Amino acid sequence: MYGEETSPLAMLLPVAVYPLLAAIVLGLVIYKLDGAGYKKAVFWAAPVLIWLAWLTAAQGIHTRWQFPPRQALDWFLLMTLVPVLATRLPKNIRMSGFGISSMLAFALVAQPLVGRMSTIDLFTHLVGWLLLLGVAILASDQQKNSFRFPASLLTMIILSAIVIGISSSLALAQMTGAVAAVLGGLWLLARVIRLPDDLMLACTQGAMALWILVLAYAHYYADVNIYALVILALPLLKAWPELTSTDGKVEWKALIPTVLISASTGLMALWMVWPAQSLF
Amino acid sequence: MMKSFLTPALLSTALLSGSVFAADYKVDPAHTAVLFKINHLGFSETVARFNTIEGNYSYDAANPTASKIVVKIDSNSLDSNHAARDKHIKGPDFLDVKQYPEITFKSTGYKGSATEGTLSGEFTLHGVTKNIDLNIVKIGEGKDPWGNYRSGFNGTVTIKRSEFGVDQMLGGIGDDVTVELFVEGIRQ
Repeated sequence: MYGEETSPLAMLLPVAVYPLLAAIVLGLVIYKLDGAGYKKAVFWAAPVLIWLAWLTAAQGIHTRWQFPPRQALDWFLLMTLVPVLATRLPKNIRMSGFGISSMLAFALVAQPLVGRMSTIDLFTHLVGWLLLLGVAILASDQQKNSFRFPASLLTMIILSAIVIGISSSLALAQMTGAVAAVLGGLWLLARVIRLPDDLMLACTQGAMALWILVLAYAHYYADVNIYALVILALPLLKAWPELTSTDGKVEWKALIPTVLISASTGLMALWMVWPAQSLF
Repeated sequence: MMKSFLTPALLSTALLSGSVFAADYKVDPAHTAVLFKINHLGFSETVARFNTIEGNYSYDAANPTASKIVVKIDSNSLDSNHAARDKHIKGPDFLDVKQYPEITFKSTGYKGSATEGTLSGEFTLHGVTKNIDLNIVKIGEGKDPWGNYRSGFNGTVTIKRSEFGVDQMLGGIGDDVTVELFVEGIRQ
């Protein structure tokens, strides 16, 4: 932001290249396991691979990660696994399970802040986040298109990384960008090998859960405008039409409206946080 | 007989209650500032300050080694004269003020004269506590026009921010941070 000497490649390696490669390798493992008939294991492992691949980036960004956790970010790197796993809960309890587990996981991350909140504040935040989390998981459960939904989420994540970076934190922008790299790696892999649709959708849902927690962290610890974050996540509500081709071929032309629609509110969020003064 | 009994008794009382003679001061926030400067890209030094400081100190010109100070800085009160930069410095990349709302200094010892010396103590920044040595110079003391008794000191120390876990952008933003303390206190 102020012209550091670190080369762009050195910055890009932990944020983009490592998680992307990790996602591809882990995606191949999942693909092979699925092919070998380990359906149950793959069902749970699919979103976990997203978290693991992201962790390769996150521990490179938060280099002082320690166990047992001492700082909020130490907790964050661990607790993000909880909502990611909760996306695999049975559908009848998924919404409530995802909401409650996400809140409990984030409560641990936000211990220093929770202690300073009044009861009414705490209650308001709790209700607000449960609502947002419920809507997000419900909307993602409606998705049937394993080509357009990840592309749409990818667009939102990239824009949110820019919003967070411009707002206040490069480290959190990098963590957000890493989620995009992971999902992007998997999406690219799905273009080369035939990843089952439900597997790709499960991974995308895992990435969404991870992304929401990164956004929450950015809001609470870096004061990123909550309205900007909610606005840029609005395209989650758009249910993309099912794939029409039956031979597995994707409709590349559909990518353009997908990206445009997904970026529209993100650009508005960018405008909302655009600094009045130059940061450079 | 009586005199030979009283002299050691009075002497020991005076020694035991040495701190009674040291004056206790409350930091006057209106005349106290903590500034820090840090290298910017090798071109210049950027100066910022903290606006909210509170604390107490004890100072006795006759026994300066008994001097002690406790200062608490509200890390959210950072002011670098650039709102967007302030938000960035307060964020997780640097001070992480939501998680670490206070910066503190608690002295553990003083070496030097009544007007100049080195104040050692525990400095806590970004949740990390380290011992530092602050070079102290006394500026003056006396009664102000309203009858309050005041004293004032300046202190400087250079720390490495990376040692406190504040290690983002070390390429462009210097690692060495020179902290300057300008403190004035009112005797209680």
